[in-house]
Amino acid sequence: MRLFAALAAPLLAAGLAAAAPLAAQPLDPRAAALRAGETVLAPAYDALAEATAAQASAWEAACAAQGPSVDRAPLDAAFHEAADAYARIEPVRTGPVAEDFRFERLAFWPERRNASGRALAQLEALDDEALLAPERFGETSVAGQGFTALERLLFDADTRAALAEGGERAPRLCRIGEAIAGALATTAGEIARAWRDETLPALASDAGEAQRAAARLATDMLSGLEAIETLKLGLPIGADLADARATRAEMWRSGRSARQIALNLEGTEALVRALVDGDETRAPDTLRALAQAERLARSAPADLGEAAADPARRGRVLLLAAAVASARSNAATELPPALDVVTGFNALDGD
Amino acid sequence: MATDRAIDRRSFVAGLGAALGSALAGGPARAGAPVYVACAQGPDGMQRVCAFTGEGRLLFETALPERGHDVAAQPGGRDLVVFARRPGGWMAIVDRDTGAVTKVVLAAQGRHYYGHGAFSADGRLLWATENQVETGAGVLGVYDVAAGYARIGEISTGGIGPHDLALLPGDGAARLVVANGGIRTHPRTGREILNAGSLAPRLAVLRPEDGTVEEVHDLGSDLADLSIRHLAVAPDGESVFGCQFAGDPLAVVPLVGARDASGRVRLFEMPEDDLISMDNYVGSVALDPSGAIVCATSPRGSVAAFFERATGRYLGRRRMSDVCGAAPGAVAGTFLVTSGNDGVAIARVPDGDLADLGAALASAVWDNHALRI
Repeated sequence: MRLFAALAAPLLAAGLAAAAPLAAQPLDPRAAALRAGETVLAPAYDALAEATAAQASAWEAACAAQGPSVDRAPLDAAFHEAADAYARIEPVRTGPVAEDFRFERLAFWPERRNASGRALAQLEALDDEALLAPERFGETSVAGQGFTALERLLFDADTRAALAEGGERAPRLCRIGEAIAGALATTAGEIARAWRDETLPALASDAGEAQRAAARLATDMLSGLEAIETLKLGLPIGADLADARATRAEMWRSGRSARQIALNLEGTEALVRALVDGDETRAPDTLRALAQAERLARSAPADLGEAAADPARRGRVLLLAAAVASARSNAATELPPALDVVTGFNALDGD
Repeated sequence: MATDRAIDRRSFVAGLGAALGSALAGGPARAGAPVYVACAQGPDGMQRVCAFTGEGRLLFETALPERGHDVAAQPGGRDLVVFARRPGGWMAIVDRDTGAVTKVVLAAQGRHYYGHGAFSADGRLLWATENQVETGAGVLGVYDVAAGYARIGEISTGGIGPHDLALLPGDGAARLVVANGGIRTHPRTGREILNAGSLAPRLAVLRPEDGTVEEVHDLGSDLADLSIRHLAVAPDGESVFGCQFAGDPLAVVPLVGARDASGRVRLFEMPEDDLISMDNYVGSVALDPSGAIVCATSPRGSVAAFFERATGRYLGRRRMSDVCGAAPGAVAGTFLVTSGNDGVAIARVPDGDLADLGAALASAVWDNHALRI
């Protein structure tokens, strides 16, 4: 193999002399990982920490306010801000978010066996509120600790009304919301701090670590796109129309299903651009396909789940799924060679 | 991925390099130190089978033409048998000390390998799980080691899609436990599940000397979609098994179980949050050197979970990205675990984090299994 290459090189060089310039220098994956960390990931986690801190304050204020009923408007607004920030960084599974099961504490979707619903019911039924205190709340089920549970609490018709009516349930429900919002802020703050204090310095100084980070980020993006296609869209779409399930869409109660996907894609695109150092020619089909999928996601119906189950509108959701699939397949082809990494295959490829 | 292409001997040998790198210059492993064998893809994109010590030192790397899957080690002998990933067309006999390929055995006509094999206690016979392609029936190919791994026969595995198998301890006639995954595939369509919705997973116990299927267990109709895939056998004859669920992705089902020496089958329970984090998929199972602790990995969940075997008590989990291979560590309570993008580490149970084994092993994309030899 090497001998052939040695013979072929001068022939190739001669042949190319009159042709287009040779390909650009390969990217250094270690520099790519550091650049992505500095310009996209750490700032995105900072934004998440800020938004979740603001959300925690909003819940604190709402629960402390005079009057029996809870004013949901500031809580809704804070939720949308924080969930937006989360969606932009959600595809990343590596780094501090992977420690201490922080990823599961932030969100626990898809819901299996109504896990978040049951966790919330358990919290509401607690005899003793000691478990709602910040230092104890981490002991409760993760299904009740993050965005999935908070969205349910705030937007599920039953608990939403109970908060607004100000009846017997309102104070406890408000304190649960406060506990979840506080936990989210704590977790997001830990991740943001760890990125600045530990991860970025490690990426800057440890070449091996940075190399591995580049491979893991590429793997994360592929897994994230697969999750959008097969779970966020695949679950409501079902095997066919008869199998479609509107309530399997992520965050359907708050009308955020399509928005989460659009922001996941936006975050993925930002990460790809940072990794290739802004040079679109390194992953042209990937970036094109991501942009197309984002466009479709932004214009998709807010009630994405309902649309998937509606014969008149299902086609649009299928189109979005196809666009995401295309982005994934382009990314799988272009990213590893562009970044000079090999993505881990145990999770993606199976036994 | 794999189609029906045959790998002829010449192209296999052409795809096989000499030992890669100068790992042998470091000398053989310390006497008594554990040695591991696993398949991996290198930073150069080439597939290989590697041997390394429990301290993270590479002993040899040998090129393979395609991804390898699991490895079987000959008792009392020098042979390691590396199986191609399913649907596999070859198994390579590799010397455990030098890494040299001493023989290549191609799948018989109308058969392909499923990636796993086991030796008899005296090292004279090798059994390999295979697909009888035309009917989809699971068989074990029987190979005579002294006759150059000549295929001398085959026996039924009591199910379809046999994946992992293991020799049960005991004197007298050899007995094998086989994980029939229940998934029908055909090389023409690669790894696509052809019998989705009607899987037939079965745990079987066979007596290969006369082909008797002594026991067949299924896990009940609720768990009909739970494919039984991987095995680890304890000195007391209990077979721990790990599964992959092919049904509703939102279902939450147990993924680890065991069949004890008397034939009783039980499933291990985990707290719901932890079970959900396994993402309905166990990539491999292993026992610690004492046989008292079970490790089950989930590359999809990036989690390794641990159990106390005698009681089934859940001992907790550790996070490791793309973790899949698992093997006994050097001492009781420890495991070696390998990852597709996070290197190799030692896990200590029940306390203690994962200890990375270092840079020499960190840059390879470790494949699904690891074997302590």
